[in-house]
Amino acid sequence: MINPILIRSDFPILSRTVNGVPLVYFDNAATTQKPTSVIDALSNYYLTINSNVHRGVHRLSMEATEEFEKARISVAKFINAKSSRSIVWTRNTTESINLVAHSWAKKNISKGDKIVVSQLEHHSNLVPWQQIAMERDAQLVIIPISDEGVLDLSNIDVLLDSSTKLLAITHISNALGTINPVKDLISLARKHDAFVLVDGAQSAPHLPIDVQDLDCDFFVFSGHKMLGPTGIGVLYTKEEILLDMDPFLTGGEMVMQVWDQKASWNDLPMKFEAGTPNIADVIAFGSAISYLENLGMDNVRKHEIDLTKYALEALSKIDGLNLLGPCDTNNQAGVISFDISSIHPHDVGTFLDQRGIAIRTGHHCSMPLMHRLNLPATARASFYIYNTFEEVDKLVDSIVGAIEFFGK
Amino acid sequence: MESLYQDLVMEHNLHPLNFRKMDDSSSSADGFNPFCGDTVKVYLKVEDQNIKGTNEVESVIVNVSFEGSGCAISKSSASMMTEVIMGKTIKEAQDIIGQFNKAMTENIDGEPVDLPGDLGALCGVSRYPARVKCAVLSWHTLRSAITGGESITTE
Repeated sequence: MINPILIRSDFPILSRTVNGVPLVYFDNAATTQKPTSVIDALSNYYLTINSNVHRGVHRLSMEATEEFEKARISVAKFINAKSSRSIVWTRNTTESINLVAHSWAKKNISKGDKIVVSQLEHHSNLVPWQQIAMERDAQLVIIPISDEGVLDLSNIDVLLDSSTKLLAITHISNALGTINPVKDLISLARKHDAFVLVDGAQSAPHLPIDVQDLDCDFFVFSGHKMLGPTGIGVLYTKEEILLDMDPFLTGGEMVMQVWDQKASWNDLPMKFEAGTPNIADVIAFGSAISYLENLGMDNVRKHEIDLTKYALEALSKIDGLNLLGPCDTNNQAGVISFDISSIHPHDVGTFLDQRGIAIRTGHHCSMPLMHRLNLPATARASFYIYNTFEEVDKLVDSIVGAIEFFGK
Repeated sequence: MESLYQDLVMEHNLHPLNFRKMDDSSSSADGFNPFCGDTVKVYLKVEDQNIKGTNEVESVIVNVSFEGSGCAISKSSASMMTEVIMGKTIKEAQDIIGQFNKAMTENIDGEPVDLPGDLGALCGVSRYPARVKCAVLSWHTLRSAITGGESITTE
């Protein structure tokens, strides 16, 4: 069981005020707040062991390397990867996907191959594949959705067939909260020998993840959406695939031996980590993982289901408010997108901000999805471990207030 | 809230002026705000007219209208804009564009500024940096319609 009141005391920022009232932070799908343990891990690194990793024989470097690699092992365990050699550090989910596009897709996608994505993708899991499709003369295929933002799989056998080389799909829609049936889709892709990349930016922070059970080839996510610092992302790749991939960036750290005219590549995963890595943020991300493991990811999910059910029920009673997405916590994460016909989402956002409530308004980096829904933008509230039912009440009251204000 | 959404702003939002397509426009331009997804199209009908008592000619905006979708700030700003520049010469319109942009970007305290028409009601917007782009979208688009009709975006 999660007790958000206890959790809140670990997050100093949650006790600040905004416009004279207590902050209600409902923009967790964009980035989450950080607990004191993560902030302390950052400053402790700089205060006590700051040095470069993997290359020093001195004490500080050894300690830094040990902490740095411990975080890698924590992340591997967190998603149940077979080996920490499968975990490559990147800056964020976007860079992880670009790494796969550059180092795997350019070599493996040929003319006429299909790359299958869905209508729910964030730009970061769409634009790189548009680029690869253009460059390799491949075909980009988009799985359509229903009006409720759920994948329409009625035609999936035609969309995902033997000419499919890659299925790149989001686990959870950042814009609508839809949880996709990725396991079923991966099984289907396997039948056609297609590779699968799962965008876990919105799932790793909120659900238990088991990459071996999913059997995906690539799984990507960001630290900052799960209590960690910005600037650290993860690329999980099955080891046998990673072994066969070309380097992404080249230079220091990623090499084994260098001669005048050529070089050989380092072991996994360093082959994909050129240059001095983001040491402090990796170590602090390790603390974030510990924090979540102490809570238990099943408990995190349960808390978000409770909040989401409560919010969906209250919001569905507001006249003039149109809930987007599945509206069913069986296949919806703690993300609620809505549209108020009489008020533009940006006006809603500014109104709520005046009451200390931070939500997201806009296209959520999913412009093709907005086109599909025939909306320029939506308002989105997204929950995390420290959010309370009282905060949801404030949101609902303030939305009612906004409708009154703009309807006057 | 009231400093941002003044009654005049709300009135223009609910009942925008000159909010229509123009079939006989002499130029038009599209504006897009990728941050909000707001779109606006500004239509102009410009005619050369004699300056009374001289042989000189000046370009006059004889009609202006807009369409598109946007928030209360962007819609009311566009509505007020059309009201103010209707019948003005191009040179006068450009002066007003300059005054308005200055009020939005340099007046960070949101103090009342003397602006033509109802535009003074938008002075509070400059205190909300995230919303300034909403207010200036139609104005950038107007400038583009005057100078040649390129699509513009506000970032």
